[in-house]
Amino acid sequence: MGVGVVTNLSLGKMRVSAFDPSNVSTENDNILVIIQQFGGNDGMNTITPYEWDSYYTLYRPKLHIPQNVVEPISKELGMAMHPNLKKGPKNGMLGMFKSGKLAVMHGLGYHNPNYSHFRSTDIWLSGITPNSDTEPLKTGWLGRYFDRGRPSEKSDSPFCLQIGQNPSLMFLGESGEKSIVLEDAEQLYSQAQSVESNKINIGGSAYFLNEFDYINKVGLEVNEYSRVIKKAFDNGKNIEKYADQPLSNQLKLVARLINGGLKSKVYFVEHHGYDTHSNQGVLDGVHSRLLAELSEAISAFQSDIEQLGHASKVVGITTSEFGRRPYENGSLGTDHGTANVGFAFGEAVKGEIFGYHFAFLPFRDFQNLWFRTDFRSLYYEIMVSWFGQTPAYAQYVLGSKFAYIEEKGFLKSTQKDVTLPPPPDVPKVSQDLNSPDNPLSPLNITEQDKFTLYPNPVQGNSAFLNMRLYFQGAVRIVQAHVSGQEMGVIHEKTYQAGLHNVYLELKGGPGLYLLRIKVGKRNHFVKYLKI
Amino acid sequence: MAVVSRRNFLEGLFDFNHSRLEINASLDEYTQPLNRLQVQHLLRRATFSLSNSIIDKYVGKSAAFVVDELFAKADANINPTPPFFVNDHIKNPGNLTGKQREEAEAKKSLIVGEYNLTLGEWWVGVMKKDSESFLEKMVLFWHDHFATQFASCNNIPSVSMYRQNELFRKNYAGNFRTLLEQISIDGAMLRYLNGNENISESPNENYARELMELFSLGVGNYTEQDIREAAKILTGWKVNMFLDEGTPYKAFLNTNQFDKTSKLFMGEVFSVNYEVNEQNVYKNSVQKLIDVILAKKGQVAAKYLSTKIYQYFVYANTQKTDNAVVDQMAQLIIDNGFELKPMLKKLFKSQHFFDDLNIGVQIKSPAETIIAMVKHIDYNDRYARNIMAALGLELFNPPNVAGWRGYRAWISTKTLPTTIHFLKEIIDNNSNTRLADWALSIEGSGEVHILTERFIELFLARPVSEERFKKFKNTFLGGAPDYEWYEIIKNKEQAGQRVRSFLFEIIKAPEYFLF
Repeated sequence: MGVGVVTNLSLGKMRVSAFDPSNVSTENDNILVIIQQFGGNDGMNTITPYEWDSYYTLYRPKLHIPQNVVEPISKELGMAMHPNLKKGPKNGMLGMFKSGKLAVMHGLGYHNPNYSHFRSTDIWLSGITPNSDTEPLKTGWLGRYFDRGRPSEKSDSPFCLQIGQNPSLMFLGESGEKSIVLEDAEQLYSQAQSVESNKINIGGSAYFLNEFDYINKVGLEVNEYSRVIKKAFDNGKNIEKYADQPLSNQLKLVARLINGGLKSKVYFVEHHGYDTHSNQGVLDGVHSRLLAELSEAISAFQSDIEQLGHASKVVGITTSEFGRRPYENGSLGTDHGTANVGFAFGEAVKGEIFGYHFAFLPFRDFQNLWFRTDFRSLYYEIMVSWFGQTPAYAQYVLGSKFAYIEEKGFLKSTQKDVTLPPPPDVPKVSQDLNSPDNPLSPLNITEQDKFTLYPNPVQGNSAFLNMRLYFQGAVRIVQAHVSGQEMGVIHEKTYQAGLHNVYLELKGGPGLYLLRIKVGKRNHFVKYLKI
Repeated sequence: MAVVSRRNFLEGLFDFNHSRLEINASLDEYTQPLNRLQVQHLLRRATFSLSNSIIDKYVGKSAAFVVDELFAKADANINPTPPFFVNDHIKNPGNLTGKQREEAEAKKSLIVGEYNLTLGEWWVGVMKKDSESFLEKMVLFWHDHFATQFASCNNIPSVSMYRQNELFRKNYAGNFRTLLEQISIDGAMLRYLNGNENISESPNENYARELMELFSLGVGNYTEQDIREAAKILTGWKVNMFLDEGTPYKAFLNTNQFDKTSKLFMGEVFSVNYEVNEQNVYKNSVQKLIDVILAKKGQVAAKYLSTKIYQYFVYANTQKTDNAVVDQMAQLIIDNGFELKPMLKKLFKSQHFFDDLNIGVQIKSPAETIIAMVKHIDYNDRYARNIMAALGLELFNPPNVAGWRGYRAWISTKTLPTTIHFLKEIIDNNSNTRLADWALSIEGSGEVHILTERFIELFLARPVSEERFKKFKNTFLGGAPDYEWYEIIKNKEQAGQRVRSFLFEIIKAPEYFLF
């Protein structure tokens, strides 16, 4: 593979000028492993705000991880790990945190978050936050990173290796795919032997040639790289015992290939199933199982890499397209949200907690949280501090520079850089109950309690209010004109959690009215029409 | 048929100006008689597999004639024999006891499990047979567009998946409005995007979002408010699968769970000022919702659909999507009240469609790579279905609601060697005699250069250079002169072995993966 000539790159609507080749550092030997948690991980039940009452009563009345089973990691910050994060060798990810090899990074996200899996995944993979929902995201951040090519002594290994099925956007550059996708090294080798291994020069029309050359090139690459990968697989080994789970098996293969001398720079593995809209479960649920698999896989990999002697040059991060909403939904699950928690691991990371718990971030729209750190801060830091790349080139890849997380960065090798832009603004949590930033605002739309008046429009002087309460509370209902003028309390009583049908006598003639319903400290409105 | 000489064959095919980059963007009719490559082009885009005799039949005919034929044949075949299990319904095992319960349980696990695979096998058979119409290509288009995975949280019953497939087939080139209306209460879709959990008390926005994001308008053409209101409008629809709980697999309205409040969607008020029953709600909520989408955003919807159809049938490279052509397609959709057939016919008969720049440029999906081969030789349809699944195209189970990524995602360092591996397996499932019988049944196969030509036109997107032609031909001959072929074919074992070698070579060619 030759060194690609990069001229003009368009990052979304941003125009980035050509990079100066003299400004690109030589590649070092450091390796990055990316674990993608597909579906949107529920960060709040991964690292729980275990000392915070609202977590148990307000946000997750049903879906909280009980206080008595979590593993506190910071008493001062009130944070604890899900108990399944101690699964795996040497107490799993908890053990890694305690021995300083795991960074817990709070509040990852981006401006104008998108709630579609596909779009938000593409945003993370591309490293581009588009100006509009329709702006195509054509290349991935690592694809662009490797558009510059590789030094010749490493060019026999693929740039990146993806364990899985379909090539990820992350590795798509202006000059094509920068990764090899495989599930099994020996199978890849045996099958690649029957692929066309010569460059075929043909004539024909332009679009046809374009596609023909693409397929021909994929064939040449797989033929060449499969040999290299097979050699590394045969030369490599694992020492640690891994769980027999898909994610563990993927990381086991990664460790063996690294040990066998493969010089790929980035390894990408996928962990599926985080889209827990319903039946997310608590300790014996789907999400808890996923965390156990994650911890078993990451801790076995780290232990293996240490025993194999590569720990100083391997760093891993977890990514997920978005977090989930603080409030659980009515189907015992959680919906697509925004800010999240991510992990970084390895001997080269600072084994610390970055940021206060993301659950304490202000709300941006009554349902979703602000973020503290742009996810691209991690990409920027990885390129500059881990890959040893020049800031100019990292800026070229991402279209901008980014502040390190909490301004210090998660890697031990990161140097303070005063030239970086400030971290994103986070609005202060407002004390004003009418502010949308305040998580306790009565204006919050939550999926906890539900009120339906029927019939609506109301015809006579009475109606039923159907209430679904998620926890016990004193209910007080005030009737008001739509203008806001109160007409008096029409109902007041304490109810248990559950479904209730309340008979209401309503006042006034035809017109538009409001019922102001207060349950404990929370306020709700129901609008109705009297005809 | 008239045997084509090697010389005429090549001349006919390279009779273009290859340096040209300007494409003919006109949807005006291509009126010249179709040459051999153009017929192949049309058939390759319309079907999953070619046969030489069908190509022969249409060479020299006009595009208008052939396209009308291909649609007439599609219309005539919209009712293929269904798979055996689609009318074999059961009672809810939960309402039964003893042996009856056991039997119903066993049947139920087949219906939600195994039969979904059987259904894929059935469709492979239907696709294989359809080598002369647009029908199954369009059905796959709709399956990709209204992507529904049987393997979701709880497996979707195979009968519902079949009913959805039937909906796509019956409306393969019908009215987009009808499809949007019916898919909104389709049994499989109600389960897949949680429509059956979308109730007045707790609206589930999943379907409402995808209806606008993926099925009709595209990202960015609606508001979050639109989604919330659309979800409310669509509340209350359910589907059952058991005989003792209503009509199995037919959507029905649970009037208690339908949201009876007024909704405001895209500026239109949806008041429930009618008696709440299934018929009224379907008309005043479901149909009205689709009507408002198409009335307020008809241009956006027509453009969105036209772009997808263009990329599916002309060229999938999004950067080469011809906007002028897509705009004309969208206008035709609007002008015909969302009836699609007039637009499709216009496209397939057009100068743009037959422009040489558009020939052989599509990357095959596993449906095309696999069916192109299993059409001609022996291979179990179930295994063919499984191979397609292993290559990333599992029928009735797209990877997510956005459907398959398509285009270059089909060809990766992962899938290219795996596809070749599976194609070899398919070829090796056939004895030498079987391969020889097939090859020698092709008209003109007694002449090795004609057989080479005929195989190349079956499998490769465009004719090859003189040099590569010789190379391919030589796999039949193993270095011997052409006339040795007369001797070779006297012995079927020997001839079949040569055919096998030829096929092993042809599946390595990059053009095998183009169409």
